[in-house]
Amino acid sequence: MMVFIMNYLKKYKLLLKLLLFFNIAISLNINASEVNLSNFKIENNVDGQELFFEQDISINNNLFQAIQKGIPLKFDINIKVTNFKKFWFNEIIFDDKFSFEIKYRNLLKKYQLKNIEGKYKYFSDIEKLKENINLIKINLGYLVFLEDTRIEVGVTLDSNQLPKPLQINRRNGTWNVSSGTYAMKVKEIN
Amino acid sequence: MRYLITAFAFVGIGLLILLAKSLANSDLISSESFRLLLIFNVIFIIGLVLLIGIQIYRLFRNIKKEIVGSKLTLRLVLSFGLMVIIPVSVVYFVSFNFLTKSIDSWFNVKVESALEGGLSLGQKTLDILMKDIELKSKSIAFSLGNTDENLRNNQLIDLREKFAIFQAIIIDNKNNIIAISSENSANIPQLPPADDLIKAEGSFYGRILDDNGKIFLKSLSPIKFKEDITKKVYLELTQPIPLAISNLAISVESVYEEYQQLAYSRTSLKIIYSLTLTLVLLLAILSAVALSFVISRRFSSPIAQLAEATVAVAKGNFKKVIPDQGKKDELGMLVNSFNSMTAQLNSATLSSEKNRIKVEEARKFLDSILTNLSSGIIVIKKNLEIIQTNIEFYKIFNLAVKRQFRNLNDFCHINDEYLNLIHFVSEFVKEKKYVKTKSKDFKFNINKNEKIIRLQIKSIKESGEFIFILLIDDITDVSEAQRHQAWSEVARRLAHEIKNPLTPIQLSAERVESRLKDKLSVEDLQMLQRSTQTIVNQVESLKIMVNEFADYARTPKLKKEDTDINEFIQEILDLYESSKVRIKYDNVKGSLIVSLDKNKLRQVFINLIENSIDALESTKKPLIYISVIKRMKTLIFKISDNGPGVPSELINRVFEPYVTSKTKGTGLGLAIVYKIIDEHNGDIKILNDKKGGTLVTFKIPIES
Repeated sequence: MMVFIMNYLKKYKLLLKLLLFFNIAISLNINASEVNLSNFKIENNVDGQELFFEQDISINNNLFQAIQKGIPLKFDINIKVTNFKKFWFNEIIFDDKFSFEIKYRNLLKKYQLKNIEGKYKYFSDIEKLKENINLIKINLGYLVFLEDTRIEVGVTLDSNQLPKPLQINRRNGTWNVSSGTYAMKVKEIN
Repeated sequence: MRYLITAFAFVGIGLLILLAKSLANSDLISSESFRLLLIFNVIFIIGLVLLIGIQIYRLFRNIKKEIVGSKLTLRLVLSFGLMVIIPVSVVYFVSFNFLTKSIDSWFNVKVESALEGGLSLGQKTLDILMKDIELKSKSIAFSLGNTDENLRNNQLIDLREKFAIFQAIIIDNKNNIIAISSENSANIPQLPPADDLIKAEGSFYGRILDDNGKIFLKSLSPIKFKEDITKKVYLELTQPIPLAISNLAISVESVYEEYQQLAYSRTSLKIIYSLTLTLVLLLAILSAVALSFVISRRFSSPIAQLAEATVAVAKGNFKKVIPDQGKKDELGMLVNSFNSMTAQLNSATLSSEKNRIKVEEARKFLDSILTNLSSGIIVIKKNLEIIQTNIEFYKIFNLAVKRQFRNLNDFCHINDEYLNLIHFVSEFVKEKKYVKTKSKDFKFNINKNEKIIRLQIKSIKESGEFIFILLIDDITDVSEAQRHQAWSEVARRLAHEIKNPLTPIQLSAERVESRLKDKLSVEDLQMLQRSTQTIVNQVESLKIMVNEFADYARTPKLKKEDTDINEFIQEILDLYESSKVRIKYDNVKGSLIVSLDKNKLRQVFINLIENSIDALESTKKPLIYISVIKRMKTLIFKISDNGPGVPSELINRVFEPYVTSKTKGTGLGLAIVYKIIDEHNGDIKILNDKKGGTLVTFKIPIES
């Protein structure tokens, strides 16, 4: 009897995986990749205000393996600047998304970075690639900052660009890579 | 609920189609709507399970309540369910295995090795090309370093063309172009990054670049000019990979990456397809089961109605009609036939019921006749088995109505005297043929009362069998009346025949005495006078007797007048004030005036009281008790005494003439009493009290 049950379980282990899939895998977020943002700074230049910040993308083993398998990872940098008003509707003065993509080129045996300017760069080491995108500079244009102007910054892995089968698991910890939203007053940044 | 199940089943089928279609569209699978579709499916499946659960609960509840058709519905549901579940489950497990094995088969070692080989081939090709360009770069750099400064430009052009290089640039360490030669003069050169220059300081440095699907080789080699070897100058060569090789290499890389991506997401793929397949299975099975409830009810409904109607018909309800559902199949035909049958049955039953009512009415009528018949009736078969009796039969023989006789022979157990009757009937029955009416009178002592019973017997033939009707009449009263009538006639004739010669006899005797008194001696005269006196006395006695006879025989003619009963009885009692017998009267409360013949009723009282006084001669404390009661429209008089009572052998005949227990008297007193009461349409009875004494009760109906 036990042998039969064990055989049955072995034969239909995928079914068991299925059952466990939604109950356990989704809820667990072990060894999650994450993005930390820091050192926000806004400088006035000839081209307008420029936002600088540092990002540290920690890539876990699963994500690294996915990259090694040639799965491109596209990260979106979402920036929203809002003038908060006491007696009127808030005014969004800047809302844009910037993207960079990390991919391993098997043919070239190099990590390919497509930066936010759309230019390709190749690195033999992932760490060097990460160093290259450590400092982000975004041109916000000519904005008028008020006393209560707030800026929201977030870096998120765009799961819609993942291969189709993996998108079903997008809420899985492996693919749920995000910095969250960093919200701060522009006044406080400087 | 039926519409809800149908709606659910159709939504389920719709979702099933959506799921099946979505699997064929990878864009849909990856979209958020696919997730929503999955979630909706799961919710829907839960809903279906609940719905089916409710249906199952209701079905079992109906089975428990023994509602007709529920068991059939269960069987049909089970049949339909199994018909769906078994093949679909088989298909599911086969599909599941096929699916997982198919997905696994995509990722076999050979394919992976081939792809890796292809990719490796591309890499090697690029390496070879890089090696080639390295040699060319070093060779060109060496040649340019040993060329005079003013000839270097031409040398560069010559060497570029000679080595078939796309573009060659001489730059210094600050990225300043010293000389350039390109196959395409319009091409704007892209200078190397500073990092690359540093890397190329010592020796050759090469890079492979992908520019929108075109692979380029870029190399940097230091040039040592012969006039100044310290000057940092570099030769950058740009050489595109041949388009055919480049396309092939990129294609192999693309396929390899896709394969790797698929391999990486193998489990996810399996999960998606398996999940979808499982949902499809559940949707299919549950929708089918839900529909099976509707279909089963649809099938079982007419059968259940039919069964229910059959039960109703079995209970006698022939008015049950199954609604025609317009079906033209066998069930519809069955329903129509059933309705036709019940209609015919109903018609037949109504007719039968009418006949039954008529028969019942006839039976009741016959019963009523039998019940109200003054004669007793017994209907028997040839074996003396009693078929029918009436109440009067029980009354005549003073039997309890509840006592049922099955056979006439049972009758003789009550009284041995009845054996004569049974013998008579048995003789008659034995003849076994139609016999005219025969009758016989029997005298029975029933409850110490002598009764004369007349039995008439007649046979009839019913359904080929002889049945005998016994007609029994109590003719005691008739016989008694006939006797009284006969006695009256005798008394009238006696009175007439005897009274006429009495006066001449008396006159003749008195004349004989008158004529001979002077001629006879004293002694003879005394003898004559005694004899004459005896004749006169006997004639007087005869006159009295004749008068009594005349009274008894006279034609009844009552002279009724309003009479106060209390006064009337008191007047009679006054006559007996000096009597030794104590007479107690329990008078009527208040005044009671009724119409009656006072003189005759006085004679009744006097006769009865005289009889009691005669009977009380030897009683120590003689007492006569008189009471009168008015009940409804009847006056009940009771006269009792504490004497010795009437001898039992006479008590049934005391009202007949010449019946007496006294040594003197005519024996006509009570006969006259009986006659007077009879003339008043009353009734008189004489009984011996258990404690001693006699009780005479007579009832007279009153008019108001």
